Parts: sequence; C-alpha cells; structure tokens
Amino acid sequence: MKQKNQVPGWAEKFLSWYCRPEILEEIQGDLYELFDKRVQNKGFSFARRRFAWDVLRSFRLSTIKHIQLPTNLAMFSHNLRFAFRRFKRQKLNTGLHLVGLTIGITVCLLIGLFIKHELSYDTYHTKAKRIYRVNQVWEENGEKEIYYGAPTPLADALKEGRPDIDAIGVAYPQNEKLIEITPRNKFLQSNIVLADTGLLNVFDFTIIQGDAKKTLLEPNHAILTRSTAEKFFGLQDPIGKTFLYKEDKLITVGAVMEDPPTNTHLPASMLMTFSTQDGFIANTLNNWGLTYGASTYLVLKEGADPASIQAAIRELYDTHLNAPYEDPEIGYAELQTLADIHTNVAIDGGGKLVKAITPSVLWFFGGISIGVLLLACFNFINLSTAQAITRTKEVGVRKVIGAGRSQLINQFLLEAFVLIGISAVTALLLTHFLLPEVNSLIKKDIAISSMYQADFIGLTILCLIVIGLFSGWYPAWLTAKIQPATAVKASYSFSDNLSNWLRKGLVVAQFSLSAGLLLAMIIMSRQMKYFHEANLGFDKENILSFQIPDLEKKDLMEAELAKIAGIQQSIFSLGSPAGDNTWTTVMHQTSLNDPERKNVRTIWADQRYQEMFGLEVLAGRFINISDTSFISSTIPEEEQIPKVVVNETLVKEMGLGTLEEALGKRFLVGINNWKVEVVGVMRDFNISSLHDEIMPLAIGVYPKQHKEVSIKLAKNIDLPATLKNIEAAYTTAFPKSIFQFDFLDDKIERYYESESRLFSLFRIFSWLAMLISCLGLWGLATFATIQRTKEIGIRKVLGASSSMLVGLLSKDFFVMVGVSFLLGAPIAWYGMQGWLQNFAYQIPVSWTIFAFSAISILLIVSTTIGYQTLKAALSDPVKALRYE
Amino acid sequence: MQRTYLGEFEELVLLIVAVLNGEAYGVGVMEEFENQTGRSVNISAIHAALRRLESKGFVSSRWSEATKQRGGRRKRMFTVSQSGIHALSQVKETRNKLWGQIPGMAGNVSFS
Repeated sequence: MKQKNQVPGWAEKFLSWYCRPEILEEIQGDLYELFDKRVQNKGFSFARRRFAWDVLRSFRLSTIKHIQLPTNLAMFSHNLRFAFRRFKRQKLNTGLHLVGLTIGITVCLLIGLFIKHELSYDTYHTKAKRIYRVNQVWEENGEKEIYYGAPTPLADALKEGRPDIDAIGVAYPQNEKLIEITPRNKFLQSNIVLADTGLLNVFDFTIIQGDAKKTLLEPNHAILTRSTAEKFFGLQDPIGKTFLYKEDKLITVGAVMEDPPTNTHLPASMLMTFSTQDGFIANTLNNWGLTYGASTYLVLKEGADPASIQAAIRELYDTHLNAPYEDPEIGYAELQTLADIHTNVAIDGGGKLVKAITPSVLWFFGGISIGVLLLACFNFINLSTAQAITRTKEVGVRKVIGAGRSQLINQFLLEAFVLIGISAVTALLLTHFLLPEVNSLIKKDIAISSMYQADFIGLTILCLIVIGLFSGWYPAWLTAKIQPATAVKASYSFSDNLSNWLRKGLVVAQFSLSAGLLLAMIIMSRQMKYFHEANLGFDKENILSFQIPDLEKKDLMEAELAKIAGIQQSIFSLGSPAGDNTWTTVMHQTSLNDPERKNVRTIWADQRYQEMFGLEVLAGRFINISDTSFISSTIPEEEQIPKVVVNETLVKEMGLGTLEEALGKRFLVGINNWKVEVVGVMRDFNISSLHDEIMPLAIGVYPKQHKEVSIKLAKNIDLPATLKNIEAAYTTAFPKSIFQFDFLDDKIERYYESESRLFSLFRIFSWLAMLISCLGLWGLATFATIQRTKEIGIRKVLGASSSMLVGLLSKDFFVMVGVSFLLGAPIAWYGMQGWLQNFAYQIPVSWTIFAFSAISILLIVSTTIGYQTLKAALSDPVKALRYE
Repeated sequence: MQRTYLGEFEELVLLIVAVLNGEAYGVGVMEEFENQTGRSVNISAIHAALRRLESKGFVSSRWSEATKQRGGRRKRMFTVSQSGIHALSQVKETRNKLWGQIPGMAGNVSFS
C-alpha cells in the first residue's frame, strides 16, 4: 500500500522491535488508521510527526517484550542464590573468610591511602613539573652537606638575564612566633612564611580576597589563610586589620587565601612580606655564605635545562664566595625537582615545616600491606580447599545432572567474588571510619576524599579482581575436579598430593611471614625500649629547660626562681646536653682552613652544669665561672684564652695523647678565632640521639650565650603548682613573652619520634597479620579434626590416651610452624640488621630474642589449635564412629 | 465480592466501551473519548487503559476481520464484560449515595 511507505520508517521499525508480538498488530493497526486520518485532516508532515510521537508514547512497560534472560545469566542468578544459601549454612567458615579478607583489604586500603598521600605532595601546583628548589651545597674533602636554604643575593642575581627562568620565588618559613591580636589575646603561631611576590608565580595560592601581589610588595603586610583569618579575627572582615608580630611589629592584613592542601611541603598559615629592609634579612643581602632557611624556588621555561642553570649558579658562587674566601669548604647549589622534595631526606630532613619521608618507609609499608593481603589470600585458598571435601556430594550431584567443569569453576569463582565483594565493602566502610584514627596515630592529614577518587577506586577494583582470581581459582578448580562416581560414595577424601602440599606450603608461607614480623617487632620494641632507657651518660630526669629572650633580665629571673620551693637547682647555659641549642663548629691545632680540621660541639655553661647533669670529670677540673676572666672584653681577642673541658672523644680525635697529657693543650675553634685551652677531660656522654656516634665536645664559659635556663625539680613535689610558680617567675621577668618549656626526657624522646610512629603502625599490622594467620590455622585445624573423626574414634577404642591424640593431631601443625620459623626468622633478622644500622647504638640481637619469639609463636599456635584438638581428643568415640 | 479499583480515566474508557456497544477498538474509543469529554488523549493511553481493564476482567476482546484499511491489520474489538457492568454500576451507586447525602442538594439533583 502506498501510505505504508509514508510513515517514518525508523518509528515503525522501533515499534516492531520493542512491542510484544501479541499486541503489535493492534497498535500498528490503530496507528496506521490514525495516520491516514491525520494525513487527510492535517497534512502529511503533521501525521508523520504524530505517528513517531505515538510510537514513542506507546513504549511502556506493558507493551515491551519480556526480557528473556540468557541462560548463563540465569545460571548466574541461580549460583548467586546458592552462594548465599551456603554462606548462611556455614556461618563459621564464611565468617573466617570474611574476617580475614576484610582485615587484609582494610590494611591494604589504609596503607594505600598513606602511600598515595605521601606521593601526592605538591603535585597539585599547575607548574609542578617545572618547579625546582635551589639547595645549598657545602663541600669539603668530597663530602657534601646539602641544605634547603639558599643565600639571599642568589634570587636577585638570577632575576636578570636568564630567559630560561619563568619565575623566582623566596619562602622563609619561621619558627613559632608570638602573635598579639589584643593585649589579652596572645598566642604562638606556627607555619608563618615570609614570602616575596615571586612566590605567588611559583606555587598555586588561591586568593579569595584582596590583592596578593600588592600585599607582598609592602613591608609589614600579610596574606592570611582562611582559617588563620578566622582564628585571628573571627567572622570580621580581616582586610585592613592589624596584629602585632614578635611583640613589636605591626602587621596589616592585605589579602586572604584558601588554606593550602595538606599535601604540600610548604603548608603556610600566612604569607608575610619578605622585606629586604628588615633587620636580619637586610644583613644577608650581600652575604653569599649565609644560608638561614629561606628557600629559593625557580620555575623553568618549558624545555629549559636545569644543568645549565646550575652551572650559571655555580659561577655566581665562584665569583662571590669561593674565590674571595680561601676556605677548604666550597659552596654551590643544586636544583632539586619539586617532586623530589618530599621523598628526599638527605637534604637536611627535607624542609623546615614538613619533614621528608624516606622512600624505604613507603616500600616497607607497601611490602607489609601486600604481605597482609597475601596472608588473607592464602587463608582463603587454604580454607576453601580444605572445605572442598564437604562439597563432594554437591559436586557429584551437579555433575551427574550434567554440569560441566567450567560451569562448576564459574560457580565456585562466583562464591569467591561474592565473599571478596562483601569484604571489600566492609573494608571500605572500616577504612572510612578508621582513617581519622590512623591520621592521629601517624600525625598525618590524609583526606578521606582521596579514597573516593577515580584512580584509587579503579586500582582497588583491579586489585580485588586479581585477588579474586588468585585466591578463588585454585580451590574452584580443585573442587570442580571431584569425580562424580567417587564423590557420591559415603567417604571421600583427597588423596591428592598436590593440594596437600599446597595447603602445607601456604601455611608455612603464612607463618614464615608472621614469625618474621613477630621477630622484627620484638627486635624493634627492644630497640625502642633501649632508646628510652639507655644510659646516656648524663642525668635527664626531672629536668626542664626554657629559653630566655633577654639576657639583661637574667639576674631577675634567677632571683625569682630562687624563691620557688621545689626547685633543686637552676642553671644558665647555652643548652642542655640533649637539645638543638648547642653549637657545632670546626677545630684544628694550627689552622682552621686546614683540610684536616674536625667538627666539634660546643656548650657554654658554668661549673653548675656538671652537677646539674651529673657529668663525670676524669682528669683535670670542670670549668669555672671565674674562667670568664680569660675572655674578658678588655683583653684583645688574640690573647683571650678560653678554658674548656673536653670529652674523651675529642682527646682521641685531636690526638692529644692520654687524658692527663691533654690537660693544658690548646687548639683553635671556629668561634671568635679562639685558641682554647683544655683544663679537664670528662667522660663521654650522648649529646645527641643514639642514631649518631658521640662527637667531640668542648664545654667552656661564655656568659653572653647562657640563654637557656635548666631547672632540676626536687622529687615528690606538687608538679603543677611548681610549674605555675616557674611560669609566674618567667612572666615577672619577661612580661611580654610566652612561657614555653620542655622536659629534657621529652626532648630526648622526640629524637625517636619517627621511629616510634613507625613502630606503632608496624605493631598493629603485625598483630593483624598474626590474627589472619591464626584464623586460617584455626579453620584448618577444625577441618582436619572433622576429617579424622573416625580415626580418632578407632584409636580411642583401641586404647589411645587423650594426650597421645592431642599430640597426634597437633604434630603436623607444629612441624609446619617450626619450619616456618626456621624460614622466617633469619630473613627478618637480616632485614632488622639493616634497620638497626640506622643507629650508632644498637641492642645486641641475641639468641634470647629468637627464643622469645619462637616461644611466643608456639604459644599462639597452641592456643589457636588447642581447643579443636582437645575437643576431638576428648570426644566420645561412640559418637565419633557413628558419625557419617 | 471482588473489589477492584477503577481509576477515573479507566472508568471513562470503560463507559465509552459500553456506549460503543461492541464497536469499540483503539482509535474508535479515542475519538469517542475526545468527542464526549473534550479532552485530547494519546492513543497509547487508551491502549494501556484497555489492557488494564482487560486484565481486570472488565472488558473482553476479539479480533475483527482484516480489512484493507489500517495496512491490512485487524482491529481488536472490546466489549464490556459482566463484571465490568457490575463495576460501573457500583461506582454509580456510590456516587448517587454520596450525592444524596450532600445537605441542601438531596432530592433535586438531576443527572442530565
């Protein structure tokens, strides 16, 4: 017919495609009829439009064809239902699977997030790939020391005539500084960064209010971050507001920016003008030899060669520093990529505000996460293969009905994937809620949102699929292999050597890992304990110290302190033995420019220092306050003879002979060109952390530098009250400043902060690993005893005692665990030797540690399998033999 | 007694099927609907209503002879079933009862 060709063809085809055949004719007929009528009444195009519209409108649930599930999809849903039924029936086994996998995946996710966070540092800057930091290198005798600072004149020198540099910025992070909003609202503010305008072109700062560039051009102006602005001024508009910085500088707020993300090495709380007119910085303007923590950053042009810039900088150094000063130590600079900053600890810890992380730590944790995950997979494989035995009948029946092997494998794989899916979802939830805890444990700020980024989710799903195939395939294959003829027989057991060996192998692998981790944990905890308890060679108990801002008030401070009961002794010095306030300089007998010169630590104090810290003098005498007369300012500098007491190491390194011979000897130090005289030798003590060897040390008198107060508190006093009194004394002497003190042992503890954080994480993961292994072992023990029920019954009937049976049942496991220990312990021991190399002072790894860990493992294993084996051994043989 | 819900649109369609008295089919019902109510309606809505009514047992259908119209397609002819009539009368009864209870309107309401 003619009109048939006139309806829109696609609409007609679409209709016959979706419409159920039994009503197609009716709808088609009606639509054609309407079409004809409309052609006559309203014209062609209208009819065609309406026809198409009607076809679309007729697309309803009631008109579309029933979707016929493809057979494999039907099988899929059947298998799914079957899997859940099975999980319900076998709660214990399913629980073991789920707990193990959930722990494994959670650990993996948490560590993954941690690693991702650490690797994401500073990647968010738009120019990230082209940003370099200029690091100062001091080289002497081929030994390099690198700092993250660069001398002030460098940035200016590079600003001209370098077409390959896009931008140069200077950032000078500050220590905590006193901020005064109102006389009543004073506090210490951290992460203040002095910055020049160039820095705005280097890094991405999101300015939300005000003119950033203008702000940083004016002295005494600042850009606050949003949260700092809120902290300072609440909800008021911060622009134009002022505050006092370091007691006397009035700073005006010129702009506000977003808080920088947590993954930056420069987490500024405010940017303050880096003013070259300011006292300290003004003094550095022409000084090429001074690096003080202000870092210079460069943005290179696309395709520029960092090496050529480095060479140009070297030339600058040669002209301005190396040529004029004939020092054996030469200075130059190296460019460090922005990406390298957070993972390179060699450069003086990486930075002032954020310390870099050693890549080996990341590898270490990555390794642990994979280890724990492997444990969970092994568990899965073991439990599933052991379980295959309970499914022989099911498989037999399925095969008889006509199930193919691949269908069965699919079914069992599906079960594995369902379990993994459930565990993964649980793990995601757990991770979500545990992340804040982990953050506070490792003092990081990993954002939860980074868990929900596409790349992380994608990687996670990929990993889950791999895990599923890895741990699901073998049990599936093994179970599907069961022959129907044997399977439906009442008793069927795997005489399959391969799976037996595999299962044993996996248990051994699991426990090797667990034993290794346990041993490592014990060694680590011993070393940590040693840090806290080692005799450092000086007293550190009940001693607190603080800096005083103004030496003129020293006497007042001393008088005030004398009034306080509970203070056993108080002294003034440059710094306590463990502190950052000691000076390191060079020393030599004849010339400080001699390449043979050595480094020496110096402390300035008076005779009370010895008593305070319990130092032991081996020869000669300790220094005395009257020694100041030898360095009195009335004497010309060349004739001043500072008296010092030195440690044994110094005597040895300088070759001063015996301790007695050293007395009276003189040598040059790099302070005021002094030639100091040895008046005494003291016993070595650990002035810094146990990471380092004891350095040569000299203690002399130099009252100008006695800026630190150390106070020894009497025992059994009211500590809070005494501290309050000390603070009151401080406030009387220095009303403008904020009292801040440290206990000496806390300070020492801080040396080992990164180790103790690492250790606390490691401990958790090791226990989790152990838990997973034990879950698996418990499951295996359960199956093994069920499988041997009859054997046990018969043995009992024939007169075997319960203890013999326990031995019989547990022998296998103990052999396996023994082998594991022999495998795992040496590897762990070897690894821990490497870790211990970080410390100059280590605990000896003696056989007792091995014995201790072996016994621990044995105890853990016995507890794990004990219940099952005892139950089996004590069970009634009659019941056992009836068991079918 | 089976109580099946009859929607307003369904009720109208069912009434029209009854009015058409054996001559009801998709397009016919639609045209009659538009004539009687002045509302325009899409054919797919009529089809859906008819199918619902059929599944509720209120109408029954049979195929007509094929004609040259409609591209040679047969019509599905609908007639109201016994339970359909019952349902209609029940709805009417309920309405009447309610109308009778409206104060001041009782007795002198005509349904013309």
